Amino acid sequence: MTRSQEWQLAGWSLFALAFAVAGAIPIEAIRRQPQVPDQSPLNSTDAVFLQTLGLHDGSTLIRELLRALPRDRPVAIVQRDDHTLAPAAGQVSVLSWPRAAPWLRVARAGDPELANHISVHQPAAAFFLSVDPPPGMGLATALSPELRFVRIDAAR
Amino acid sequence: MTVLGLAIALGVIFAAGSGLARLLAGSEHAWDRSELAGVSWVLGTGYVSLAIWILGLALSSAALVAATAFGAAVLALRGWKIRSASLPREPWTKVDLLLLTLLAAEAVFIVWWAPRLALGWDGLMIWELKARIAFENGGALPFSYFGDPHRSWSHPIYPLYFPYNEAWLYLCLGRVDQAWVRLFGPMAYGAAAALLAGGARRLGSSQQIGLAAAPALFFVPYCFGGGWGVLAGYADFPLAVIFLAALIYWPVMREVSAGEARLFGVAAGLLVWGKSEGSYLWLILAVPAALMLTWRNRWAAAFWALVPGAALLGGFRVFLGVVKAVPEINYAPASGTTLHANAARVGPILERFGHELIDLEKWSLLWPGAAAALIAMLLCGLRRRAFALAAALLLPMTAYACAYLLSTWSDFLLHMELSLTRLLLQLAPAAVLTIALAVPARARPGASPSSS
Repeated sequence: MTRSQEWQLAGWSLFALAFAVAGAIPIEAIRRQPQVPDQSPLNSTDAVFLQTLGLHDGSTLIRELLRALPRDRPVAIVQRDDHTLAPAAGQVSVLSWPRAAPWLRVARAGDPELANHISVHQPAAAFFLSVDPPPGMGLATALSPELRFVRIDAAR
Repeated sequence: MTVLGLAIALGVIFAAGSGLARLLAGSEHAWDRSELAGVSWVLGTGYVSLAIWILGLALSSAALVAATAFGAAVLALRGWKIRSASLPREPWTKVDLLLLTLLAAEAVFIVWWAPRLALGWDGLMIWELKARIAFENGGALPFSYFGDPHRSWSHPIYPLYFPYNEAWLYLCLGRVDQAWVRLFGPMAYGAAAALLAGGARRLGSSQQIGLAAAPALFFVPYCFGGGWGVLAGYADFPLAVIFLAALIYWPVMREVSAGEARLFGVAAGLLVWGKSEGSYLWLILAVPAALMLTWRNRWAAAFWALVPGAALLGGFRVFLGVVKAVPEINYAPASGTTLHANAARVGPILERFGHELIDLEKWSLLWPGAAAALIAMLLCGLRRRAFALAAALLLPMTAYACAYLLSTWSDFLLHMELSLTRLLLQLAPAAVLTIALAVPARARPGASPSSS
């Protein structure tokens, strides 16, 4: 190895040290990453429900509710227009497969025509994320402080 | 059952991948063991996802698993019959053993930490979602998914490399399992480390420099500290691994054998299958490669450089048309009118890019180091290599910057904020390789035989 190459090698060794120091393991950033509550098969989905809606074991609970619904009727997902709720709404949509899952976003001020917007899709049920179900829609079950479930009569 | 399922899933991937690697490379190619391990992962995951896509049109569940495994067995047996030499191992030094210890420590951390992490947004909403629906349909996504207007937010037109690998794992386990599906992150990281170690040797560097490059990604903060990093279930890092594999055999960078040209063509072709922006990466690598090989009258090699990716890109586009997939909403079609209307975005885009590249909290000294490495190569007379690696890093960055000119988001800077870091992650392993190749290697017995 020539003298020039030896100097280069020394330079790159210093660079490697600087690289490792500058990129020292971001302990805090790693700790802030969302973690799963357990090692169950849908633990990431459950982590989303827990973090967003305060709902424990959400995937099991929601699947139980969906099991009682016909597979050929949609399930509406009604969400307050807040991007932090989107992951939970998305997971409800996935759990609802193969049913159609129309996804409605409601402004914070509310929507006086919400019942009509939902009934257009003729859903068998609706999940309300941080939104109060319209009156007269049916008995709402509170799954968590931010999540309500309403089974909709087929006659509506 | 879980252990058996995992063994089948990973066994089929590596059997198919190593068989395919040996078949493509031929008997003249002397493999470095790390190189073969990394390439086997890339080709094997490509095989499995393509098998599910194609065979899944007719087969499902156990039949699909059996057919995929059978194909892998055939590839493995045909490949193992090819007697190729291995690159002689250089004698271990204390520094080599120290670097191996560092790699082992990283592996321990990853094995301990990965199971605790939840899948990220895209990991759940775009990729694992598809894997779950595919599993419930017997392995492949039903046509109804692609045209479902209520799930168009999950980007049904995205290529299926990653979700079909996840679906393959679910098929082998016999259940959806978000705990085990996170295995792909550590496996992809392992493949990247193996490719860096083996690829550095392939490209003329020493075993020691390869071993120094292998653990380097761990010190890029975003890889493990970022929300969209290696372990979050996103497809960007797996795409980065495919890009790295293709780069190692890129004919523009050096003279390659016929076997290496085939390896390049197939690995590069898988880029279009990894993510939508993989098509840009494929064009950037494959077109110059095909042109160069054609100029040198190496017609077969030029064919291999271009055809696998073109066939896959065209085939998937036809498939999306047949299933009536809901089209993309994030970008406007490229037209002079759109570009002219959004010309004012150029300044803010470049400024944002610049800030990103020197963000030590995300990238450490990766990008300045890569720039210094390119300059060092130029000064040392390695001009072809320097220009090739510069193109491999800068052209994708340029393409990504231009894409934001077409963003349909009302706040395109928010669009950049939510995606730019992940796009650069796709180039991170290639940047590490660039730095490694700039380091002069001490000549030792058994050093790699790679051409200039």
